[in-house]
Amino acid sequence: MNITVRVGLSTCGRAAGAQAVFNALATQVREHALPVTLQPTGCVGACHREPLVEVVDNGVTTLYGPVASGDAAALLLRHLGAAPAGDAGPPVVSRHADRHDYPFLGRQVKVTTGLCGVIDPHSLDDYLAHDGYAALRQALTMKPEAIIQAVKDAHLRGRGGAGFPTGQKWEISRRQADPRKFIICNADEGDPGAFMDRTMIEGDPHRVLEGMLIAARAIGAQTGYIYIRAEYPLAVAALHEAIAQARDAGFVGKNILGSGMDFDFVVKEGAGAFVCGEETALMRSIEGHRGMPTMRPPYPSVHGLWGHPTNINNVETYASIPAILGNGPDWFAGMGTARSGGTKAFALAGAIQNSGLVEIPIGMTLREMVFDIGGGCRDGRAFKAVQLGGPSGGCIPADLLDTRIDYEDLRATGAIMGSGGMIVADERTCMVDIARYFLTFTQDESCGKCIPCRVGTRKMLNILTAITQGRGTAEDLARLTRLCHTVHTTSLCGLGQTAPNPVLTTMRYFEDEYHAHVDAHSCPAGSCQMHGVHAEGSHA
Amino acid sequence: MSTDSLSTVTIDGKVMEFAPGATVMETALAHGIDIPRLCYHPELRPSGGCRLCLVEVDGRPAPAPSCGLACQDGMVVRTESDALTDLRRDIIDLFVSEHPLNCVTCEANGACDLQRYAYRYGINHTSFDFEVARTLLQDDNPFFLRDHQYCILCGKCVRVCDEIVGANAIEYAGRGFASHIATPFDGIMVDSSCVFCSSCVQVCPTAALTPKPRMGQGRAWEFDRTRTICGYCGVGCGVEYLLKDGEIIDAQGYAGAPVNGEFLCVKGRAGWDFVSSPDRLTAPLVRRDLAYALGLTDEPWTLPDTTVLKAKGDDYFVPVDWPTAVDIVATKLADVITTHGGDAVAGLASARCTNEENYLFQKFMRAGMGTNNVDHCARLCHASTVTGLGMAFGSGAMTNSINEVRDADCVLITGSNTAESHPVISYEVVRGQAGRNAHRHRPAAYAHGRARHALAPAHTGDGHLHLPGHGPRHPARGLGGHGLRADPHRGLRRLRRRAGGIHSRRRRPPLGRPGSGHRTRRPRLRPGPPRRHLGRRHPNLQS
Repeated sequence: MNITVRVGLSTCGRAAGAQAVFNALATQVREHALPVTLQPTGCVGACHREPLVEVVDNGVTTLYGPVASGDAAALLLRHLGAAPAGDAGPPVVSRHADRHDYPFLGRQVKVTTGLCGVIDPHSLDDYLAHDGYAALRQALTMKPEAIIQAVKDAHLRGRGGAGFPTGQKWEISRRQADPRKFIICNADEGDPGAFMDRTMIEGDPHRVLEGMLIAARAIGAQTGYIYIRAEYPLAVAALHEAIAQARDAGFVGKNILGSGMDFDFVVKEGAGAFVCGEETALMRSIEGHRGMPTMRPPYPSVHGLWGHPTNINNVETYASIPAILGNGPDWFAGMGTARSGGTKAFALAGAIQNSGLVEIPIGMTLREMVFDIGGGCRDGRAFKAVQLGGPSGGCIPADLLDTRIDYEDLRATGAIMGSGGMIVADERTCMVDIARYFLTFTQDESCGKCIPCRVGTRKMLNILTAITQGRGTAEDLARLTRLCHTVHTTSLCGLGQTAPNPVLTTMRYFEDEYHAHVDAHSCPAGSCQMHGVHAEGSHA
Repeated sequence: MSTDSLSTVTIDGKVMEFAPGATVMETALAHGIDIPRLCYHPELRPSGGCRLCLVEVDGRPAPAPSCGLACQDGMVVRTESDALTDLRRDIIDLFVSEHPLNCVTCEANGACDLQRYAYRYGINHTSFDFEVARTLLQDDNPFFLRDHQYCILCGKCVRVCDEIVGANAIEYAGRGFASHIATPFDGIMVDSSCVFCSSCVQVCPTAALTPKPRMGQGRAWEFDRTRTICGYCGVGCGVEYLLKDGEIIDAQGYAGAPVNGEFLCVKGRAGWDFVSSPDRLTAPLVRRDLAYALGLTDEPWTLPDTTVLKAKGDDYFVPVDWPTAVDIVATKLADVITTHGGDAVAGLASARCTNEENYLFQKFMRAGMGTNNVDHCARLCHASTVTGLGMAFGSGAMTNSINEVRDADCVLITGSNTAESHPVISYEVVRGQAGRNAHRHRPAAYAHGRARHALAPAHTGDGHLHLPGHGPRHPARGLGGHGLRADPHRGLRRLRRRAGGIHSRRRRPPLGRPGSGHRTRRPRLRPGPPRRHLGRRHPNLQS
């Protein structure tokens, strides 16, 4: 009898103390020579129950969490048939022959995160045992045009949030005559509350590399940059380790698998500027300049890094590629809507019961997401809104919960798909204050180059701050609306153009709350400290 | 795009042709349409930061910045509309929400672009809350004052320093509302790589950068302006002096100057105070003994034993007027020529004179004095270049103008510290395609900004060891009938083979301070069209 015990050692797990749990389990196994295979793994997504320990025992998978390091002995003894009577042990999250019977996981369709929390991310063999690099082998036998056609047929669209068709983007780069081409993986995940890229890279780094290798094959690129924020030390280390392993195995370097294709990776750590997630600023940063956006056109696909054609996709887009080739474009397209194939990962956060990383087929409704997977709001509170797309996105109210999670449907609400940030607000959340929070973020992260973003967002923030402090007037609302229009219309890059979205959507769906702040000087949610000039009078 | 007919765009209802690759801004300006702009400069790459130049384009949902918008055949553009006016008013409103409207006491009053557009769009105060984002007042160098409260972050200073000068002394720093223009780590200017050419001051649209000498001297409309040629070196830059009551207050470049465009170096920009120096010789002087002999003074005087060169004007000379001086010289020259013939006289001219003056001088010597004994100071430093050029190209003159340097694919600089001795020529290297591909063989390490692609430091006098691989033919063999065109890259291949040995196995250690960061490496030359030579044109004598 052998038991496999997995401990999620991603950043989220470690922050909750998973390393101590792993060490305690390792000590027990070593000291008592237990017949247990102890394996570090990534995050299965149930971040709300970290630290998570999964035990596979006689074909039954039991997920425990949160597990304290003191629980190690009891947990192991229970599975080794020696649990003392009456010992409760750590709480059980789920116990099923198939982990997908667990509702949090059961409604999900895991493609890009499928091996996160299953394999040991430090083991190339583990990835290979799960069909790793099979798609690359397949791609090396295909014509580049055929790869691009497969990606087109899969209806894969950019997972960074804008949703540009990936195959079409690759084709533009492919067609450029310049023999020197680059691909870039944008892992500069900067939206507050978003951690999709981090989880994928920490839990299954080879999948991202494989996706990039296939893209390089399709486009004809020789070098791939992975631009990752330096605040993700575990992910950075995971990438370096995976690249070294892949190089030793012949997947990276000269004459890959005897195909004649040469390709190598460069990991570039960002210095912490949100705007470097914008593609032109990101390229400036790689080139060694200050990360500031430049005008488009020219687009990177034509004139990118050091003037060469450059394809930029985000982590999840590349991570989708091996599955498209492996299972076929029809399988992938079949999961989504007519115009968008596949799945999308979301970092579910905020006032939600089951926070964590979830991956769902595109087209699922927000209601299913929030209530079936997320379990609704914590402590039985009433759901108020869900915020998608971070500082560039918007808030969607309860009566639009049946909106499908799809690029066009979400855009119609004024929000965006975004890169995967999804923050749930309950009845205690003030929507004016949410808008103010995001403007605090954007105006602080503006690169300073264009005036509407640098100063316009600042003035928007000042007005919102005045409103949340009870100093706002009806004229302020009119000025705010006009300023939103100017900043949206005139900003140089996406950061500024989308910065008004959190304000515009909250003004659209929660107009009453704005009016309550400026007319009655009260905050319906009770979260704003109204100490403006009129506040006392309104309470009198 | 149609190839048969000329390509046209329609801007504000006017159909106009455009040059290939031209932007809407360039085309509009060329046709007298004044699109508002704060960060645009015709000599700099467009930035798109000020957003004032947004225009409406048929078929596009949102306005686009005309400075970065390439003309396309059939494009229909509107530079003015009610919607654009509303947006521009908001943008100027945002600018003045962080820019003090101290126009009455501002040095830039009357020459400020923000003031100009605030006037044009009728913005006399901000409708937002006024906050000064940048409060630094940096008086950290002798040339200009940096008053950040007036900075509108157009970034033209950053771009000119990067794209033209190559010094890269400044860049945006900070984020969001705290963004500002700074030297590395916000250090003081004199500790940065700044060369104080003041090109940043030249392009600054407000009073954020103000030349020190003109502070408190008046506003733009109070000065007289005189355009002339800078006398510092043979580059011959156009310079405009600002004058107040006949005194020079400041020097600046002016757009369209033939050699230098709008940009000057530190010498031309700041080195003019000698003009009004009390030490300056302003009248002809006649030595006292000669003056006595000529009856110009009543005091007899004999030359002391000390050298005349150390004489003070007051002690040894008497001032005379010009007609008298010319008369004396003419009489003396006539005496010599009558007695000994024209060849008893020789003339030496100067590179500081214009071509026309030098022409007149040799004409005077040959036709007037009757001698060919005429020479020029450039012989001292230029003779080798003239010889080499004559052998290689058949003429001792330069094959190209200074402005054509920017079109070169590759530049080899040898025996010259161009960035220091003729900075405006180095601007051409920096701004050209060759900026990435400049090769320098010269006897001193000097930062050449991003323009320096390869640097092969040589000991003084060793430069020739680097050269054999470069030329299409060895100069001694002359310009062959087929050598240059038949295999323009042969020399490059020879250089590749030979340069390594020269650079890496030198008996003497490489030059430069240890750790000064300059690299010794084999130049990687990019094949390109046949090379042309640009020698130093009439350089001043270098110490």
